[in-house]
Amino acid sequence: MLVQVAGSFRDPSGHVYESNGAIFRAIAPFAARDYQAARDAGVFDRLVGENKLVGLKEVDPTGLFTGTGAAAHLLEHPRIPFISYPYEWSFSLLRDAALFHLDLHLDLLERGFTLSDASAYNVQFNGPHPIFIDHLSIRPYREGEFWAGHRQFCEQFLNPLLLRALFGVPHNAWYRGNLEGIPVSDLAKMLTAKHKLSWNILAHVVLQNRFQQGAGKRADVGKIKESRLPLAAFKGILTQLRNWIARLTPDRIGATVWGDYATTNTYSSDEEQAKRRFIGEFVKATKPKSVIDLGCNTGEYSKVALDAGAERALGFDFDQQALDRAHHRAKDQSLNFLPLFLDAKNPSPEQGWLQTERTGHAVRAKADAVFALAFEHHLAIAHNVPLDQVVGWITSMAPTGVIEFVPKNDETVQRMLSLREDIFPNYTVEAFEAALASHARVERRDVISQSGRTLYAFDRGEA
Amino acid sequence: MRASHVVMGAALTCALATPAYAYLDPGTGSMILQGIIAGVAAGAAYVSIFWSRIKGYFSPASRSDSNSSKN
Repeated sequence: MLVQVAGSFRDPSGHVYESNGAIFRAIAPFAARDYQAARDAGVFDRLVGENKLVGLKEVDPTGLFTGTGAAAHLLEHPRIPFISYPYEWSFSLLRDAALFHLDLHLDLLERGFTLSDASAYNVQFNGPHPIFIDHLSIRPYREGEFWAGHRQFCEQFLNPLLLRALFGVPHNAWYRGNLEGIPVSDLAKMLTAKHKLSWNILAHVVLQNRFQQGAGKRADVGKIKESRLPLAAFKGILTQLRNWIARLTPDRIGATVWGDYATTNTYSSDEEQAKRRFIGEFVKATKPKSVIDLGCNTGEYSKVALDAGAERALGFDFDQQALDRAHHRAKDQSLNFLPLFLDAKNPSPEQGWLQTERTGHAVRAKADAVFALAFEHHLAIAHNVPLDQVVGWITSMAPTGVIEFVPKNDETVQRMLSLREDIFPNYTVEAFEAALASHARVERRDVISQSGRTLYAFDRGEA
Repeated sequence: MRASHVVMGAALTCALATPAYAYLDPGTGSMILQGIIAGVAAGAAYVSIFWSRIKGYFSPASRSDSNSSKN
């Protein structure tokens, strides 16, 4: 039967369910009229056709939906291949999501519709391509209504971007902790006088915060609800925000990061060639549809996998600049590649209401093949994670894959150990091979560097 | 007088009766800010109309056009 998705409870107009891998949405009777208005005006069809909204199909509720309360409509949606959360996005992805949301809103206002909220969780990504997933957020525009989602937009889209643009601080850790973004009051406390010279910052952070602080003492809240926001002003606010956000860039980075990645990537050593060949041959032989690229950096090997026939690649890395560049690569070269932020020693947990509202990394990060290239030593040496646990974690993500073992005499490991005591007597290629063998069969093994870096193609042998 | 009262009453009733389907709290600070921005935008719109009229007086086209009428 239909099982309600744990994170879908805030909006009573409709809840999302899953059953046997399909996704359903039940629309409550009181929300049916707004849904029908959007549907009959062709809004859904047009947006789905433009690839901006997840597809939908009305299905007969009888036999499927016997949940609490009647469902006026039951919709079936295709699954998004990988659900990601705003605290897993890089600055570049979050900015694209914000611009996408504002553009969608402006487009809807042109046609007499609006978005009833501005939750960042309503935007998902297929590769680098943003898509909207909350059909019930789209409803007819009522003349003079305010932008009800403004505060939510500021906290879930704008402020996290400003944290990086104004202070150079990545939003991921704070956003993940707070779940609802960066509160206006918190960001307002951090601003300097120089920041407040910007009208946009003054309006959306300082003044919004100041008016919120004084709100408890206001006796005329009722009067606020009665006043009107003209449509032109509504569009003006969205457009001004859009133009501002499009200009935001991370603070305190070198100019080279935003330069063309291709010019920094033309040189290819023999060792890189050997690695590329190995990955390409592996993908051609095992034919995985989806791959996870741990420590993806700028996505070089994800691209190799996609070129060799994989359909989609999910990248994870800790380096913010590499992630932004990887995202640019995915867009520029139209790769079905989504690079996300991951701190491997502290992946996103289950959290939110009842600690089931947002699912953890382990549940979502599954694919047909996993690559861990130039990766394991960052956990095993730099962060003292036992080698067998590292191997166990990597092999749990996919039934097949390629892991690169970086031996202790390698230059990078030597650098990691240069100021430390070598407390890793068991960090040896034999120990690594034994650990890997306990989880999977080694299908192929190639030493690809002079320092002894070795690639292992494994297969867990499951159907 | 009576007609405008009826219209006002209807408008207020509409405003008060508009059901808020949105589940989220928009935040009073946000609403007040939008009210101010609306005022600024309306003011800016008025200024831009006024400004284009001023520009119209000084543009060559209107000077050479003997039929231009001052508004």
